Amino acid sequence: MQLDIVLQTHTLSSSQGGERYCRAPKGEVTRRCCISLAKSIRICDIQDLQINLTVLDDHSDNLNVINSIFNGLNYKLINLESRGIMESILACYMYGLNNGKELVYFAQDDYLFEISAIKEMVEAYYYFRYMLGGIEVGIYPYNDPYRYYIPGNIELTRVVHGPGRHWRLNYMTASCFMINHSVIKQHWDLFEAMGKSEAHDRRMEDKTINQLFQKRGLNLFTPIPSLALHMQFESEKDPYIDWRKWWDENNSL
Amino acid sequence: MKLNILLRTCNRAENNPDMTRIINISRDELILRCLKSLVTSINNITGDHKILFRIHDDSDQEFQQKLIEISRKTIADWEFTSDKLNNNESMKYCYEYSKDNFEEDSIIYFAEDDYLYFPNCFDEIIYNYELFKHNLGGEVAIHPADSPLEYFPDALKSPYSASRIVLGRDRHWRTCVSSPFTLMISKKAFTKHYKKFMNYSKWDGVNFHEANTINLMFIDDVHLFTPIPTLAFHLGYINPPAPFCDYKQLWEDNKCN
Repeated sequence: MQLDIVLQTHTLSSSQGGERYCRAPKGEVTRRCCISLAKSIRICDIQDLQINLTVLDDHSDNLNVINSIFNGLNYKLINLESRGIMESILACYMYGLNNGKELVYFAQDDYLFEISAIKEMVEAYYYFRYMLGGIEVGIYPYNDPYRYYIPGNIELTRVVHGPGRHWRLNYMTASCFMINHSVIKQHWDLFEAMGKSEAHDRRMEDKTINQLFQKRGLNLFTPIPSLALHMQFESEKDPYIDWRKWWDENNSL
Repeated sequence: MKLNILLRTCNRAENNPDMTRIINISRDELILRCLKSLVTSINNITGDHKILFRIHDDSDQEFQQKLIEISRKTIADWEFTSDKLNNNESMKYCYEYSKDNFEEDSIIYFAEDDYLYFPNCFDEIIYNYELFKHNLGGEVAIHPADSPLEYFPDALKSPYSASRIVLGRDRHWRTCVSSPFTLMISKKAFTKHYKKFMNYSKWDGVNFHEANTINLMFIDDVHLFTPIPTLAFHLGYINPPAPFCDYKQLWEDNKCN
């Protein structure tokens, strides 16, 4: 078994502007989020699972920090020539398409992970795919509270038991989620369209990758409670998880 | 909120004597610890509520004294009554008593003696009952246990298995269409569906059971919510009694001297 994690990093600015709820500069957000990811990879002890981590960096200012965090893992860094969040997303997707083998997790540098996240995500992927008779599934580890604030977002769904917690069917992901490489190949049109979207198009996922789960018959699962926190806007702050505890725990390796 | 908690207890017999509960312990011990957890949870309710805790018991006299001793510790107004009734008669009694005695604008919590509660259970279910009712406008009911039955293959294949997930104060909640006797519901909705409750009190597992009695009201009238993760454990026959939660620690925490 092989998991390729394709991580997009950029330490200098936030693409969507606005202050993050942790009130920290982007470089510090990236540092702590990378630490949480590194820890989660290290404790993932699934037998025969090889994890490769590739960082696609968009002109960050202190790559030594990132290198030191991932030192010791199957890790490589690629400096992107292009600039901008959408260019980076597209580059990550293309990297996953060309280099992925089995499972590919597209990750971003402002998600803070529970230490068990990677292990639980991989286990959940295989469990749900098996339970659904082989139909491909995607795993989006962040249970976005925004999806519950607007009545129209509270759609009929299914809640099931996963290996270690409740999971729900979801129909909306962000650009970063875990999927089988065969899905990237088969549905490349959606990934490519996502990567070529306008950065401020609020419906970019709906018009592209969300169609995997809304129209093309794949199942997307999200954990309850969340396995990752998106360290961005106030509206994305998980109402039940103490983000500061996770933040403090990931000050150092 | 005017909340009437109506608990029925009985140490004389098991409903399913051929089955072994997940905690293999005397019925006395089971009821005492569950009652203790219930009283603790009632005592942790915050806010301005009028709470009446009524125990309807069918135990032997010596055991009744133990029940009274624990019940005395509640900060709510409480009453203790006793009568010799079997399981169905006891359900019927609770329903008839509620219909005849509780105020029309009150909320009823029907309780059984084999549920183990987290200390924050009642504070959360009261708060969220009011929240969901405010948000939806219609009738709301709450079952405090995240039953594993909801996740069994048969349940997931049911046409009613799709649910909505919402944010409560301290956790996620899901809609559901299945509840046993233990249930929070308004007197108004209870009265409206009284016939279903009375049919449920004729329980035989074949002609009268949850699915063709009280659960019918959850399909198109009353919004039933259950918490994720659970706020109470039904210490019945399914292990674990609720997924991903430690009932053993809570069981230890409610040890009676």
